[in-house]
Amino acid sequence: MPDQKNEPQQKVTLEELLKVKRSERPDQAFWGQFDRELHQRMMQTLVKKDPWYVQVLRAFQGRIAQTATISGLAALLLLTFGRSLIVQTTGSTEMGSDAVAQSSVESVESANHSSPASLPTAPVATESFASLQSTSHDYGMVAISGPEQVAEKGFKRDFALESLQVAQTDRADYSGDVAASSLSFVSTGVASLVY
Amino acid sequence: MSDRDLDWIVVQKVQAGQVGAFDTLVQKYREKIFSVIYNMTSNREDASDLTQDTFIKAFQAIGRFKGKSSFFTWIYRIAINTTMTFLKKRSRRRYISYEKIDEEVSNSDIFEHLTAKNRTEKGALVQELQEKLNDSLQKLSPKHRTVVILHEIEGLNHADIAEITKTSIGTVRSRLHYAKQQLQSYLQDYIA
Repeated sequence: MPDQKNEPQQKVTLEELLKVKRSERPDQAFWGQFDRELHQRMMQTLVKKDPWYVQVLRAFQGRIAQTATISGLAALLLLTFGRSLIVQTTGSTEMGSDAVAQSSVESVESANHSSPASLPTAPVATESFASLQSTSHDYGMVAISGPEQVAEKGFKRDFALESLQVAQTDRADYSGDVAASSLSFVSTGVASLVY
Repeated sequence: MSDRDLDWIVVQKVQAGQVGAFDTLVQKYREKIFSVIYNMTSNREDASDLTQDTFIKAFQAIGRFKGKSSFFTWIYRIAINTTMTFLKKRSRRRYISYEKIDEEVSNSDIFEHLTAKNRTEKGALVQELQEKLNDSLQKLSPKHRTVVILHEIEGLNHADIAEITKTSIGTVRSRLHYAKQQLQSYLQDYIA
């Protein structure tokens, strides 16, 4: 019987050929150098600082989720309540300006088309003036009723009648003056402001 | 206690701050990792650098290792990914520097048979076969090369390879089958 162990094998397989690759191993000197280099590089890794952006990212890493949540919540609140507040403010401003415009129109219209009974007369104006006098002001007021009183009280008229007309007893002129915004109490004997 | 559990204990020590414990893992896996990378690149110097890169990356990332997979598959995955990235960059450059084959292996039956068959001097045959094997491996795509190296040279099972390469076992088998077919054709002169 022939000795099988001493005879070279008759067939080589791919797996056996590839197993040859397992035997390609570096020697001990290689591993000595490998270990030294690896330790050196690992030490450098331990000592070496990360780039600034990595440090910043790491510093905020734990807080990113927290900050994002808070920011998101704040943005949501701002969108919900801030928007309604802005809408409310804008609405009231628009309403206010509308009201002013409307009242101006109404006052002009009422001045133009008011009935004779609703027009102020001299006694009514005097009463109004008296009520004005009762309140404290930082300026003085003197009631005058006509050009005679102006001269009598020693007032000097330093403006033309057409430049400042406050009131007029003549109904037609009065309503016209209101419309023209040039009322005069001085000429009609109702009132005048003294500065 | 399994190998996986032993590794996990060491990993936990490193995570706890015992940096020196990492050296245990280096000593345990450096030759295996080097072998994989060497067979992937067919270059001793590149393999040395990439093996060091692998351990440094593992060291830097060990704090994030949760032990869901074994340390062995984790570090193999780092090694494969590092090598793949390197090979993509090196696609136009290829230097081959061989490791010596053990004398014990060169005296094996395979070489006896091949020497008798080809009637060549054994030393020349060993070198020739070594070159041919490396060339053949380099002709394979990196994905096919990885599978055949991990299975046929490193002796890993299909499941471990699937975990390392993040593919299915079916894909591993398919790649292995194709790679072996390719190698058969490249090495037909040596396969009796």
